[in-house]
Amino acid sequence: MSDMIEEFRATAARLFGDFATPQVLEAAETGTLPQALWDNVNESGFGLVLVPEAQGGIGAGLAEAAAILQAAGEHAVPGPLLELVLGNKLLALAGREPTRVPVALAFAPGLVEAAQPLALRNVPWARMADQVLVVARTAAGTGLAVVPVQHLEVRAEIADASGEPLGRFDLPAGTEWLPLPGIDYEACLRRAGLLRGAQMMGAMRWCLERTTAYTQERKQFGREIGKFQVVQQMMAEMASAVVAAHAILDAAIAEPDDAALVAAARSRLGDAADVVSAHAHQVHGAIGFSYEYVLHFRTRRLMAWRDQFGTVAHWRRVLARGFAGKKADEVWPVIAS
Amino acid sequence: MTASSLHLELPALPGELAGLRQQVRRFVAAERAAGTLPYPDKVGLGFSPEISKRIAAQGWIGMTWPKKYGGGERSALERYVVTEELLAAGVPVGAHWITDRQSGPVLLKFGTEAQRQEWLPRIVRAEVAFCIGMSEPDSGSDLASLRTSGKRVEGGWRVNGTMLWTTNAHRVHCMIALIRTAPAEEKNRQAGLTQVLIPLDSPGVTVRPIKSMVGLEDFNEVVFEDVFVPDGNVVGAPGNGWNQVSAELAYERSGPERWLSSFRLLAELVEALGPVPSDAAQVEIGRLFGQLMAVRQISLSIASMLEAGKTPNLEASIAKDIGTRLEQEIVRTVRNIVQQEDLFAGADLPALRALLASAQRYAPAFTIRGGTGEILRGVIARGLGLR
Repeated sequence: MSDMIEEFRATAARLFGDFATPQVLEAAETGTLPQALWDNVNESGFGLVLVPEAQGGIGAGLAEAAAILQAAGEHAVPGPLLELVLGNKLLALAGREPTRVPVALAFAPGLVEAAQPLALRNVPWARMADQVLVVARTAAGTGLAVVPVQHLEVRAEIADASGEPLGRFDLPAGTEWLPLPGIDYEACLRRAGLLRGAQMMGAMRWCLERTTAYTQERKQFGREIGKFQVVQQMMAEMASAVVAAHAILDAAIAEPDDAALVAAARSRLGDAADVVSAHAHQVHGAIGFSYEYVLHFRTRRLMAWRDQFGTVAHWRRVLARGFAGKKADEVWPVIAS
Repeated sequence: MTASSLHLELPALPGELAGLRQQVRRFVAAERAAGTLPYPDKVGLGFSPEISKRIAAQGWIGMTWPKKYGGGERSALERYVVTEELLAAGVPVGAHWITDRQSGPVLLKFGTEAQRQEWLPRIVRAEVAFCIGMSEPDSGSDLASLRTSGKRVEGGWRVNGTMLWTTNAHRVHCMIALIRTAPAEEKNRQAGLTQVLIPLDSPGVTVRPIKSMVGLEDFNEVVFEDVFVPDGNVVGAPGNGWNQVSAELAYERSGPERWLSSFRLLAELVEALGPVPSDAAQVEIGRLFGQLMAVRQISLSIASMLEAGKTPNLEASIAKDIGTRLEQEIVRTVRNIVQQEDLFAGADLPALRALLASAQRYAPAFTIRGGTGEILRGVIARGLGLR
């Protein structure tokens, strides 16, 4: 991470640290979006990070946006922050004004027929958003639908492990699809996938640091549990998973149109999330299982986030397809060009 | 180092590396076309002095060393690209690999001018090769406990002891051995160790090949009985051996040989599955390639750090630990997919079949050689501040 990007992350982390208190995290679980936090996000301009300067934005790149979302993941910030950051970029591409209201972002499966209603499922934050954005493949190319939520009947899905609200709704027939020049459906999904990956990385780094510290605080048998080799081995596995996932995530953020690299990053992040959640809880013991101890706000999100904006299985299929049909000698050049 | 600072910078990879990569691929293709480079049917570094000589003729041994010793004065990243390409293609590089990676750099960094002039130009031409003497019958992970000793005599040292698991000792010319020349200190067990260069045809040296569970004779027992090592063959300062071997750890542990050992097996599986693999196979294969590409990214970052003059020993421990575990996981997963898809029922697939059997027999060594996973994870835990 360059110094400037790290500065971005640290600034965002300070703001999120002030507002994403345990009380706010708890309130969000019962369906209250933290308004003060949301107002501060808008005031800070984080929502405009990917919007070009000519359209009133900050005009920064994906690495800066990812730094903000990593900080958000670190603090388990509730709310559709990713959706605001990427949604505003898509709105700008479609020639629309950026928004400040909570938005949901959905990717429609398959090819969308404008004449048919479109069923969208498992959309994070749809129930609490004022506006939904839908990216779809249409006959005319990649399109963006911008729909005020009051025009829709949004119903609750059974919640996933994160407790963050999921909604389902039908987009009515005849919904207008704005063209998205210069970016296609897959490219949008890759960016959403990477930003979710950055949030995961923030949550995993928090887990690694907190758990490392815990092993130096907690004493059993007269010494810190971190002095036991069996615990050290688990912490090493956790650290290695985080370092590996971060390395490939950074590489993919730098090359977001390298489909294999992005898919590899999300696949690796999925594996890392499993190791980090399992080891963080095992090392913490009972205290980490309590609601009061805030570890679960990160680990529960990791359980859900690993499969959002492309499931881990989706990204593995994408990656594998790049190798299908290759002769043995042709496999390596797919990885190293 | 703390958990929060454990983060690798994106590697800086100059564009001209792509040209070098293509050059290595053309070399491999030409050798294949000429019938001088068979397709690999087993894992492990094949040993071929002839291939090593042709690689040397390309200038790919001692690439980073000074020109006055025959080296190429090229960057660590250029060397990285060449090694990665040769390994991915399954080229038998075993006859120069350890010498190029470790022995040459030790001589370059710590050897005398006379030692450098005597050995480096011949290494670069693949005329001599080295092995490393560090493991002993009673001394493995606990390196500082080694007992092979050097006693001061007129003009040099008299060496007695036994080295074990010494790769290639039966077919190379010299060993750089770590021996004890002074007793360990109470507070510093690592004191008193010295690196010495021992030609393996010296009087008193007996090399006995040991058959491994793979069946090949790769490694050996080497017994020293009153072997005279002249002062001129001491590498570096007597007593500085521990620091010297530690300095090479990042090179030894982060290279592509730590995650590509079973790559050829995976590549053959991809070929065998054809253009439309089952969904289950795709998801499993995607997982392996995701892991592989991530550890490659770590390896590239470390190569970039080495080029910048850093010594990323902790990061190298991470690379080797997860890289070698992945090498083993590739073997298990390929086996599982072969069984699920019943690949051997309808086709011979000789390369895949042979590689799978070979890899299953070789895999236990991946996480032992060059530092066990448990030791590496101990190094990582120390980096986290736990030890």
